[in-house]
Amino acid sequence: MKENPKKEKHATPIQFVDLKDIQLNETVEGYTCDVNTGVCGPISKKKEVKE
Amino acid sequence: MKITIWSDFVCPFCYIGQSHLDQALKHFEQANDVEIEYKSFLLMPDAKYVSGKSYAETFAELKGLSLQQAETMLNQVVNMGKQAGIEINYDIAKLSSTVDAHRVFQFAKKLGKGTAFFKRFYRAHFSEGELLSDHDTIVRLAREIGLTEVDVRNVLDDKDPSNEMMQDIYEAQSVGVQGVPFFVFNNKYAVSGAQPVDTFVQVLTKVWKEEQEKN
Repeated sequence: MKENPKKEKHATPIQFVDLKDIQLNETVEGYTCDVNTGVCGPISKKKEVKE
Repeated sequence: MKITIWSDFVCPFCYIGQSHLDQALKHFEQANDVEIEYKSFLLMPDAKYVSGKSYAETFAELKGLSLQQAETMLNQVVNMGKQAGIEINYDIAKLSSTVDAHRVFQFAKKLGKGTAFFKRFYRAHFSEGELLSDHDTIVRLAREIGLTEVDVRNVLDDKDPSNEMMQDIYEAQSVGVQGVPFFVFNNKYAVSGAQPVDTFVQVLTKVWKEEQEKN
């Protein structure tokens, strides 16, 4: 992907009207840093798709 | 396609996740049509650099962990960084508040340099041992991506917190973000955490197809 400043959005207020986890495999594994504790580590959760 | 990413410069999995996303975009034919918007998140706003203390010691004290727990976590992060093709060196990294860096980031974003800012500050923190709370350091790094010293110092001298930064954090809370990095595709699909490259490729492909079907 090219770095294109013109395409970069500027503090656009996001309207998360229909935010949902994307449906891929049954489980998605990743690594995250917890916003409450700041501790970083693996996550593995059953996907719960909000329809 | 639009990708929104909440992140902090001192978040290792944000750095790794960005690398994975970049690799996924290399496998994605429509990468040139992808817009990326970074948003501020403060993972450790109370962090304060103490000279002479190791990163693990500072982190352990800040988060109430044992030194062994902190070292285990950091070693895992270093190994994952290697796999992602990025250097994470906690022997020289300096944990500190990123509030002022985020205030300047918000200014950089208005100039279309938000992504470049994030990438430069990730590398500065994790690979180069730069102190991101230090104003002279922020000025020097920001100049490297094309900001002027006068503009950056004006932002830093303004003691009020950035409204845009606070808005980003408020949005994260309102959406229910539990961890960073947090990716949102087309303002609709959420992906939490540094996912494998293949997962990002799947997401990009799926969202793209949906976008095309709508058009």
